[in-house]
Amino acid sequence: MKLSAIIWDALYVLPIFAMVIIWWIGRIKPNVFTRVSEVIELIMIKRTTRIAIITVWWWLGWHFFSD
Amino acid sequence: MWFKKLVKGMSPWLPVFAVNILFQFQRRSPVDGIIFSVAALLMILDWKALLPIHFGPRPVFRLRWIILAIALCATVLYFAPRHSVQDMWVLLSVIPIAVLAVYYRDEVERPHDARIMGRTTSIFEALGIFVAVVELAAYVISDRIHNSEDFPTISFLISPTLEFGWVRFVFLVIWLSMGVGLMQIMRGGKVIKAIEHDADVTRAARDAQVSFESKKSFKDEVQS
Repeated sequence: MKLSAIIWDALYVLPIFAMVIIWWIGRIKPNVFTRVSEVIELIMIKRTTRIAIITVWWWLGWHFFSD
Repeated sequence: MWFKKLVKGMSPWLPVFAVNILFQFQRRSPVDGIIFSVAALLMILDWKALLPIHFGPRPVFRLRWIILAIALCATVLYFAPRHSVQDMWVLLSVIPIAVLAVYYRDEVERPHDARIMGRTTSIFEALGIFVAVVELAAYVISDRIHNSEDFPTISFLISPTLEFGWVRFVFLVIWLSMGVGLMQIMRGGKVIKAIEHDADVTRAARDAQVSFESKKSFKDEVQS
C-alpha cells in the first residue's frame, strides 16, 4: 500500500472517528457536546431538511446495494 | 434585491443538491442525477408551498411493524446478490415508508443550550464538509491520473468489501440504524406527545412574552 493511499484513508477515517468521539462525549458529558439525538431532532424540524437528509441516506443504500 | 426575494426562506440544502445533480450528470450517472433532481423538486415545491397537502402531526409507527420492516429489508439486502432485482425492489419499497416518516408539519424548536448546540453542530458540519471535500478531491485526482488506488474515493474503498458477508452485515447495521435514527421512527406515541406538549408550552410562553412586550410598549407610548 502506497503512502498516498494510507494518508487518503486516514483523511476519511479520522473525521468519522472524531464524529464517534463527539457522539460519545455527548452521551457522557452533555454540558460539553449536545447528544446526537437532540441534534437530529433540531435539524429535522423543517420538512425540507428532512427530505434532503433522508434522500442522502436512502441514496447511500441505493448506491452501495443496487446502483 | 429580486435575488434576495427569490431565495428568501430557501433551504441551504438546495444549492448543495444543485451542485450534486450537476456532478452526477457530469460523471455520467443519470439515475443518481434524477434521484437528487426529484428530491430537489420536492424541496422546492415544499419551500414555495405548492403542495396541496395539509400536513398532520408526526406519525407514530407501531414497534412490531418497524421491526418487521427492518428485518425484511436487512434479510433481502444481506442474502440477495448485490445489484440484484430483489435489492432494487426492497430499496424502492423503502421510499413510501420514508415519505410517510418525513411528511409531517414542521415542529417548534425545543428549548436547548444554544452555545453547546452551536458548538456541536458546527463541529459535525465542519467534519462532514471535510469528508465531502476529500471525497471530491479523490474523485477529481483519480479521474485525471487514472489511478484510484492512490487516491481512493469512499465508493472505491467500500464497494469491493461489501461482497463479503460480515462487512455487508456491518454496513447494513450502520445504514439501517442511521435511517431509524434520522427518521426518529422508534419514538412511541407517549414520547411524541411529550415533545408536542413541550413545543406547545414553548409556543405559549413565546406568545405571552410578545403580548407582554407589545402591551408594555403601548403603555410607554401612552405615558410619553
